[in-house]
Amino acid sequence: MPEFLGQVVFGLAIGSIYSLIAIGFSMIYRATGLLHFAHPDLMMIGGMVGYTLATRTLLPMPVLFVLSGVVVGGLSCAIDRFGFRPMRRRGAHLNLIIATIGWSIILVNVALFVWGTAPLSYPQPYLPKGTLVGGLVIVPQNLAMLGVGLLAMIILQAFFRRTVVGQALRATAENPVAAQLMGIRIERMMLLTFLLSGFLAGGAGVLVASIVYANFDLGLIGIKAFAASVLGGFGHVAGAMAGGLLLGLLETMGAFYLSSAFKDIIAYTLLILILLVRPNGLFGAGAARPD
Amino acid sequence: MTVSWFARFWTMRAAIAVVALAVLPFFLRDNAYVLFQLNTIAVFAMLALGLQLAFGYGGILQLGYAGFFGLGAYTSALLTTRADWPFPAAFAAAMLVAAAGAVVMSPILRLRDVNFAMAAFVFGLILELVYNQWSAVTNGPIGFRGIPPPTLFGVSLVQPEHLYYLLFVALLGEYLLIFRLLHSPFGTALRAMRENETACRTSGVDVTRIRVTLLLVSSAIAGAAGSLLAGMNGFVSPPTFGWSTSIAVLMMVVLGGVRSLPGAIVGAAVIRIIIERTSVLGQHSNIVFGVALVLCMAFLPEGLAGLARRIVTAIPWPARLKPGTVAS
Amino acid sequence: MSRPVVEIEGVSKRFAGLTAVDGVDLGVAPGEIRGIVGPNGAGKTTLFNLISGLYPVSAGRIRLKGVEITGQSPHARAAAGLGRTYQTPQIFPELTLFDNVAVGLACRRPPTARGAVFGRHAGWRDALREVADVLGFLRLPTDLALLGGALPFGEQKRLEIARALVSGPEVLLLDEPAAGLNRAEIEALMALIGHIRERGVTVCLIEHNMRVVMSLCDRISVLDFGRKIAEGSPDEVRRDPLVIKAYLGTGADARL
Repeated sequence: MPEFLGQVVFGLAIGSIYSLIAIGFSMIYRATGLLHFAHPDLMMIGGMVGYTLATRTLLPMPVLFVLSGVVVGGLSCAIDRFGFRPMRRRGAHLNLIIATIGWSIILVNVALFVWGTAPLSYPQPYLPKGTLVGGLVIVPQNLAMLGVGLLAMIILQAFFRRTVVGQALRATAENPVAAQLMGIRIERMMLLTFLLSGFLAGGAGVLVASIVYANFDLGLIGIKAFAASVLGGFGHVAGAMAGGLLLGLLETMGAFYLSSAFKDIIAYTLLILILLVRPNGLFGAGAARPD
Repeated sequence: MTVSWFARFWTMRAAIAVVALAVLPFFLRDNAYVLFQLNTIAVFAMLALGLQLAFGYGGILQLGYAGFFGLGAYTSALLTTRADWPFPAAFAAAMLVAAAGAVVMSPILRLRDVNFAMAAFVFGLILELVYNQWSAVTNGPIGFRGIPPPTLFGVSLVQPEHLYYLLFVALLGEYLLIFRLLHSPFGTALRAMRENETACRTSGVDVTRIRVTLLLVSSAIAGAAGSLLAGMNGFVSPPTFGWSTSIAVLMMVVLGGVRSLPGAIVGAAVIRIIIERTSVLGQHSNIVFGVALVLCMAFLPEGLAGLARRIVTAIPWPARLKPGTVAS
Repeated sequence: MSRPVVEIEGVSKRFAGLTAVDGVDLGVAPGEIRGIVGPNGAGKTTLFNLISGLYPVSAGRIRLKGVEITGQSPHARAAAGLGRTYQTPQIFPELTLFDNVAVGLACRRPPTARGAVFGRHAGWRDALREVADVLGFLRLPTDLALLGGALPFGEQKRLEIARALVSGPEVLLLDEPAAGLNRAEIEALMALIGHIRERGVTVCLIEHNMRVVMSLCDRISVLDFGRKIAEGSPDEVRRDPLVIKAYLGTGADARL
């Protein structure tokens, strides 16, 4: 029994990493309709920036989280303002998505240039003192990620549903023209979205990098995060969280009970099967809406 | 209106292009390296055309496309090495296996837009993982070596020029096939679907079946390309069939211009050349690719074909030479 | 009485909390012109969407020529002889007139890939004569290369009807065919519908223009809040107190 529990906790821990990225990813899609393939790399930058701050200043973890979040949030805004906004004006939607791939490559190379190729470990004080749960090591960062994820999810849900700004964001995503006619400053809304999601990504990067290591290819986790947001229902913030956790669980359970070598295949196959049953993801809207 | 599609294909430009490409190897006799590059471009041009059909004309964002490339490559590799099949049979089998993979994937077509794209992406991930991890069959991450070169009528095609002609024929055949499809009721239905799918449905167009057909055809094409790649290089490895290749082929289509067949070929050439050049330059050269991509997407929304079209219409031609407007 | 060509039995449609169509029973005789009327939001277009298969029914059955079509896809129903137009003309603006109409042939000559590659004929190109005929019948321009989007609104509506007619349907559903037309166009439309009926097509039309409905239709079915509240000849319906109340409330001026 403790073994099972350990697997669950571990799965949730891994899953919370996916969740944090997936939430930002889904949020961006929900508010701007964009598939931001460079989002996981923003997380990576957050991890790298956090590393630099950690080694230079040894500030406490929460402060690092916030500082990295601010830096990456700013970066995210800058990319939107100078990279995406001009393209949105021209209405080339697919090109925008492909452009984010270009940005992903740029960010990875910038990280390579500034921090080099070698994986960098956070200084000792940040390294996890883990506790053994059912044979596996759980570290404070895992709990922090879960906590941050839940908090972000709750806040964002409330934000989107209850606040005027949040609703304006949703309106913008669904019908930019109508939103503009209603007086919503859509560009400002989008900038805000990129700021928030960037902040979340930056902070998440610190948490992740401190457990694993800071390296330019940290963004590869993003693939799993995409899968997680699809699983949860694209654009659904709570769904992204749930999707991430579920994916982490599927992966861990699959590895433990079926086969460690094929855990990814198992997880992805289950994902597709789930999508076939619930075409809009677990939390997405059910049947087709009438025209 | 009664001009046959075949006659329509042979415009002046097409004739010039075909002839030029046909005689090109004669001028490159001594330059095996360039020929090899061209051969690789040809394979990717096949992929780009296939994706152009499915995505450019059919709107199917097949982000898992490279997985089918791999299905063909590994099938052909296995059959020619371990079962001693002759190349033509292995080539056919490669296409069949890739098409079978498309059949397995087809339920995903029910999903709308974004969800389909992501599910296709994940499907591609699964295939890549299979190539990586099913070592017993695919030899895993190390890759599959010792694939014999394509043999036709007893002649083993090892020289780059000979491979060039094989690829040339394959590419031309594929182009003609797609051209044919597009200039038929099937093509009209595709265009109509893009404009108003609901109207198509109630007019009797089986939209789902058309999409499945597109998926099957494009996957078979990818399989064919895979088989050719395997024979040409003698070696295949999983990274070639992963999501970065899927994205690269998508870029080729978008850069060349969506819904432009020549554009897909040009896009394939350009992207391949960029990849080659930047990998040679060194570690940080990749950033050039990223920047180039961003700039291209920003300033060439209609791709190179759109750019060419705009240049051509901007030039004040004398009336006789003016390029005609598109008729039905 | 011969078997109805369209039978709607206890059909309902619910959308997450809203019942758009509620237990409607309807039978249309062959060769009839049936009017479907009712205030806005009564569920008329939803009913058409159910008949043509764009929405699955929540309950009930639909039969075409005695054969059950509930659950069949829209294209299968088109192949079975059901044609339809929409409130706003759903044409293909970037396609030529020829292609716009030729798409309607899809139910008789499916546009398959196999047909494209192996078919010896030019597929829809063979149908030059038929398409030209239908365009002529509907008084549309004869230049087959004109783009659909270049036509004025009234002609676009007729283009849509042309597409529906070219497949030789037995039942034609017209959704507000007179909307947006001027007086002369409406007269022409009424004559057209008469000609269509003469060709043996059963017509159901949703329409708000009462003059058209009253003078053209053999029978009228009235919907309100998703339910059928009245059905009968134009005179019967005109006098039905429920109908008057549904449209006008009480004490209002009736321009029926």
